Amino acid sequence: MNQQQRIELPVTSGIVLETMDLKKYYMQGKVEIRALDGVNLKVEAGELISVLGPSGSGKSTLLNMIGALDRPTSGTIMIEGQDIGRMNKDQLAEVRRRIGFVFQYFNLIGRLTALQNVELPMTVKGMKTQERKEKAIQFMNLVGLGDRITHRPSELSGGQQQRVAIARALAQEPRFMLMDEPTGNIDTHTRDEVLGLVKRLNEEHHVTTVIITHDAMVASITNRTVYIVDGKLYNSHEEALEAERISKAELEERTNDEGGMTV
Amino acid sequence: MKIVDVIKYSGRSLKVQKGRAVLTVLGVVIGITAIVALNSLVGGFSNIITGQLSQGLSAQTLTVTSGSGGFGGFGGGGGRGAAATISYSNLTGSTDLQSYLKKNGNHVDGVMGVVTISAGQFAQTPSYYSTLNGSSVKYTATITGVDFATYGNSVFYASTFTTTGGLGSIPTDNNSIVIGYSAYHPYDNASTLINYGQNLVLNWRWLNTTAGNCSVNVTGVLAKIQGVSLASLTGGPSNNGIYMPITLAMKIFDTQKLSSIVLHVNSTDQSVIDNVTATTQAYFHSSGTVSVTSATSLLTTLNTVLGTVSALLTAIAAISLIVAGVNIVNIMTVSIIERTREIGILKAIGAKDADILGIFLVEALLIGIIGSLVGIGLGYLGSFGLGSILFRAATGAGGGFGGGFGGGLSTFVPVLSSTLFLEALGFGVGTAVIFALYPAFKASRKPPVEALRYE
Repeated sequence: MNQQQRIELPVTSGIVLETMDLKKYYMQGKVEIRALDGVNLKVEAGELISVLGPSGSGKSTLLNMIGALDRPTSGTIMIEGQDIGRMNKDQLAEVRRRIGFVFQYFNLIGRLTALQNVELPMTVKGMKTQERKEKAIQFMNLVGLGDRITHRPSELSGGQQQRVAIARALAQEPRFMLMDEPTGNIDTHTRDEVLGLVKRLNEEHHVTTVIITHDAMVASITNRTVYIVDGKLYNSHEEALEAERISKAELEERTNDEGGMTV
Repeated sequence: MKIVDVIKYSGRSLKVQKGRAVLTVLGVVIGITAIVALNSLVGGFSNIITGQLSQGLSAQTLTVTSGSGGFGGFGGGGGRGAAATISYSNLTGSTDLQSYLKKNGNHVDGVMGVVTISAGQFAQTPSYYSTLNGSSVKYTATITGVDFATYGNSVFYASTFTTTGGLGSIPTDNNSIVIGYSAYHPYDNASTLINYGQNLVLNWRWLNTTAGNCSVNVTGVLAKIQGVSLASLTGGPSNNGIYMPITLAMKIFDTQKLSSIVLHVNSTDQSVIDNVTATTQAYFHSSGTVSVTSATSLLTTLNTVLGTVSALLTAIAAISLIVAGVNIVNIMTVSIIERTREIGILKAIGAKDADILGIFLVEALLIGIIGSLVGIGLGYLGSFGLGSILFRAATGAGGGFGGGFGGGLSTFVPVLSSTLFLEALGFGVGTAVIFALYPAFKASRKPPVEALRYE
């Protein structure tokens, strides 16, 4: 456990992530889809927050925006006070180097060992071999897989793979960790194990974490939950339910109108 | 990403996709093997050919022949107009060529007249055959009339016109001849045909109409000349030749006409050769045109021909490199499609477009380097094998060249010059990288969101 004490993760303070009136519209054929329709989200350092919403609510789009993977139609995304909207591709890549992604499908590289996968972000940054190896071992210990470093992803269980992915995200020395349905692809047995790890990292190491999920159980471990419905963000469940009700009613009304025309 | 890490990463992905990598490398290997094998083969051949042909051939020798064109179009400085008559009087008297050349430039230190009659014949019984049935054999040879003292001096053919290592001696009187080694020992067995010290009747035909015979005494046999010598084409000694004093030749053939005059210049500078050529042509100008052929121009022409053959073979081999290149495009494209998600992951953890481009280009680079090195090795080894097969065919074919080359070809060594090595390496690596450029560029430009979404 001494090794865990030596882990250096960046100490952040203030607002690490903020979106202002964030919009993302797609054209699907001739229909305009408003995936994000004016999202305002503020994440402070050390927070453990979940974005809860059903499929098709704009969750993934939001993840892509705040993960600097895609560009918004309009609005502002500030990461550590920097507006990433005006950045070129290489600058966005630099921003992603400070974000720890954890995906639903783990997204480990199959031909690399667990350790090499954890090393990869540091390799990309150009860190020296010895240094990154030592750090990667520390992160593997931290997620409890110190004895699995030479295993390849295919030789690990789903839960273990996700813990390797978390170790890799930590290796980014992230300003915040961004998780996309982190337990969506693992059995309920190991789910608690992964969520426990996420909770512990936040509490003991103050890792700022944003979890995007449709699973209320996952959201329940976080300290704050925001709700996303039809591309809009709500701070309470009640507001979200109300929005959902209105949206359904509007849909019905439209359908009825159209139905009325046939009479 | 550091270049070392890019190389490690690319190397690892080649190692994992071993089967595919081997197939891709194989394409490059085949192309480079073909190029290297053919080139080092031609290199080895041309070394042998020029080595053999230039034996006894001095770069300082110029041959003056009547008319334009010289050796059936081989170089030479011929002009238009009637062919000049080159006669013995051009070598003697008050207006001889040598003094003219001395007056105009003074670059020539040897002048020699040559009379060549192509069909001289001896009816002769081989020494070994006579013990069997005693029948005679007709031996046909080229008869050359030369001034022995000049012909065998150090300026001209001292190295090949010698009986040292042969038999007997070069005659000093005006009625004796010396024979090439083939006339003495034509069958490569225990039997000899014409030996020194013999008196023979020489039958000849001159200008296809006049025929006659004369009695001559053989005083010597020239040492065997190795290989085929270009020197014999320019009037130098050959194994098949029979040599008599020029005065005897002129007497028995009743002519004052010379087949050629051989000049020896004191420098191999092109300017000197050009000057002597022009002076000689000016000397003969009043009687007509002559062509002056430099010995080196024959070699140059030959080397140009060999170079062209080599370039042609390279071009054919290069086609297989293009095929390899298309194969690389294919495999790279498939590999990139399969690794779309990996590209997405790399981008998500902060890899830039340049990093992705680097990874795929380095993969191609490694394929190119491995393929080229293996190809160069195989090509060099292959040219030994190919060479020996070709030689067996050449020597087995017999005939003029077969016999002549027989001795020299056993020493065939393919030539792998450092230039060829570097060119082959450059070709292989260049092909791999150039053909990988487009797929690698495409891979590097994939938007991260799309790449990550790829199943």
